Amino acid sequence: MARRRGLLFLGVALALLAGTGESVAQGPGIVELRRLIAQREPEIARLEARQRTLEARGDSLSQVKRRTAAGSAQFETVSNRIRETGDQLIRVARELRTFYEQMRDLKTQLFNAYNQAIAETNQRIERLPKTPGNTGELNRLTETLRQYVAAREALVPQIEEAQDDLFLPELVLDPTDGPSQLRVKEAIARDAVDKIDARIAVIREQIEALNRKQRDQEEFRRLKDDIALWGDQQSIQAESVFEAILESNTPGGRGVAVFNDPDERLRDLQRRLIDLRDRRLEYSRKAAVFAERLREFYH
Amino acid sequence: METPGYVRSVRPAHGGLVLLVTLTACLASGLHGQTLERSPWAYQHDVRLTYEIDDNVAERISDPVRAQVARLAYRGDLWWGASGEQRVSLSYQGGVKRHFGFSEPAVTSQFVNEGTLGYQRRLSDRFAMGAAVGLKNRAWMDGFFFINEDGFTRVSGSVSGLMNLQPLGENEVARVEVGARYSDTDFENLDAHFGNHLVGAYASVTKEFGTDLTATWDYSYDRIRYPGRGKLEAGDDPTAIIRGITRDRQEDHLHELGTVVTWLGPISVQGEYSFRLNQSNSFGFSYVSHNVGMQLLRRLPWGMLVQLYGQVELRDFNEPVPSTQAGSLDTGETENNVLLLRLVKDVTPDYSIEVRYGRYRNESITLNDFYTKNIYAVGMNYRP
Repeated sequence: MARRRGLLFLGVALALLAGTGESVAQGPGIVELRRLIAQREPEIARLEARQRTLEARGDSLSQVKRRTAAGSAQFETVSNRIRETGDQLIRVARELRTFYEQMRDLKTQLFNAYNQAIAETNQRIERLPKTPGNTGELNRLTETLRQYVAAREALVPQIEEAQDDLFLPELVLDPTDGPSQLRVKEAIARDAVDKIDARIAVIREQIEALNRKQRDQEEFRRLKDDIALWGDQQSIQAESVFEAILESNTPGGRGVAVFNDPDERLRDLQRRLIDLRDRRLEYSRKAAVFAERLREFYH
Repeated sequence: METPGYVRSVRPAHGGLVLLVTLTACLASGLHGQTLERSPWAYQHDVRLTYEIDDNVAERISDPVRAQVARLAYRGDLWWGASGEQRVSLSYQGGVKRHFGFSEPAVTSQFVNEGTLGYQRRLSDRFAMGAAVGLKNRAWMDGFFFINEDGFTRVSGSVSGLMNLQPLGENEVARVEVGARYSDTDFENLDAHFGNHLVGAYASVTKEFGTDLTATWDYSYDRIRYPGRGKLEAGDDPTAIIRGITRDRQEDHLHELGTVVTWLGPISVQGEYSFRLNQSNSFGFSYVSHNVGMQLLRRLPWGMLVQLYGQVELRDFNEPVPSTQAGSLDTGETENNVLLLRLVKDVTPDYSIEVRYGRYRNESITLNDFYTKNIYAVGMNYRP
């Protein structure tokens, strides 16, 4: 009985595994993913334009409202229009958020699809018999591989940017905000601060990892340099005379910098960290302002 | 053959002292650190101060002499155009070493200065050219020197071409470098034994596998001429190596094939292997050798790290080795067996203290004779 149950379990597990493998294999291909991305791009552009228009209209109405006497008919009309504009903005922002999330998923899928295509093309190149008759095919595959790699590289900053986008809401203090709106806005601001803190922690870890690697390389080099300087070990010294002159062969050396800047990644992370710190300050200040206004209501 | 521990000569090293003081003053005045914005200037530098107990300070084969040694060293690298189309680099390393515990006779200070000026230019996204000149000088105050550590001056230069290979994946950078090099080494007191001219070429391929793994494969060929050494034939008296002024001069052809692999992880590892084939026209100087090296670095709690370094050379001479003072001075061309253990504690982000133990078994001035020494050191590093 137990054995039959075990076999049944094994069968179900195998079926599930097979199903999983099939679903991965049958996922949308590169062409389909690119089509889906291209399909969403104009819609996102349209919504972003709409959002900008609504924000401008909201600002303009708020200015009119400030100049209008409270209690007048015009004040009420303007207040209603502000509310309508706010509602429309919320709908547009929600739609945009959905689109952004879809795009982020699609681009991640596309990145994985390129990875798979690169691996398959590499395998085909390796399997291809290296004969003069296959030169054309080899060139074609190599060119395809180059295109896949370039396309995948182009996706990396877009994915990183999308991951960095915290979809932080615009929080504006409206003179007409009552206690409930202020309470909600304060909570949203504090949530935003928490989100930013989490992202700051991730970036700090990345910076620490980069610094640790850089330090390890420096310590490797420092020890060898010290030995070479005093002549404690001749073979290192012979090496130091030549290879280290340009340091292009030394891991962590700066010879490679003539082609690409080894510190660029670190600088980029530091820039993002500074930006996030600014935004954290902005949202914590907003939370404090909303809390202060809320207190004013009850005193 | 036992060697004398020291010899007197006449050239002082006041120039080295002046240079060291000047550079220390530059350091004290403070270069400003790298900023977030991309600057055409970049630098790295550090100062190291160590106090050591050396149980064979004169590197004798027998009757070792124990002494205390204080060393102060500075290294500075300065780049202009560090991330641009062309870049100039200036690298300087220098130090002073002072012995204590020697009573008869007084051992003076040793100065070492080494500078390299390099230039690289990117010709396209794939090609770059580079050139460099270097100068290294070691000198003792008042002309004193240990027999294995004669003062010397070495001039060197190189030109090279670099090719950036098309990466097949993210962070899979690869490049090829091909170059030619030259060096000329003149010893102050023992030039007839050891002075040499080297002309050679090298090629290397470096590939980064992601952000953590880098591998380099290289080959070099050098022709080394010894203008002061006569060519030995089988059965010759080894003293003829110097005296045979009518003889042909010794000329070696050194081939070296090697690889270096570096992995940066929880325990960072750098492994090296090289195969050397030295073909000499002088009897007894041809050899093959295998050189294996390893560095391990592990982070420890409380801002500490431990580093282990070891290197072994297994050398096999093709003919009987002549008993002659044509072995190794500490600048050059041959052999090493080294084990180093280092424990570093970061006191601040800029300062660290360290303790170090080193055991060396290196070739002495007499060919294929080896001395052993142990060094126990404490030190401080400053990396602004």
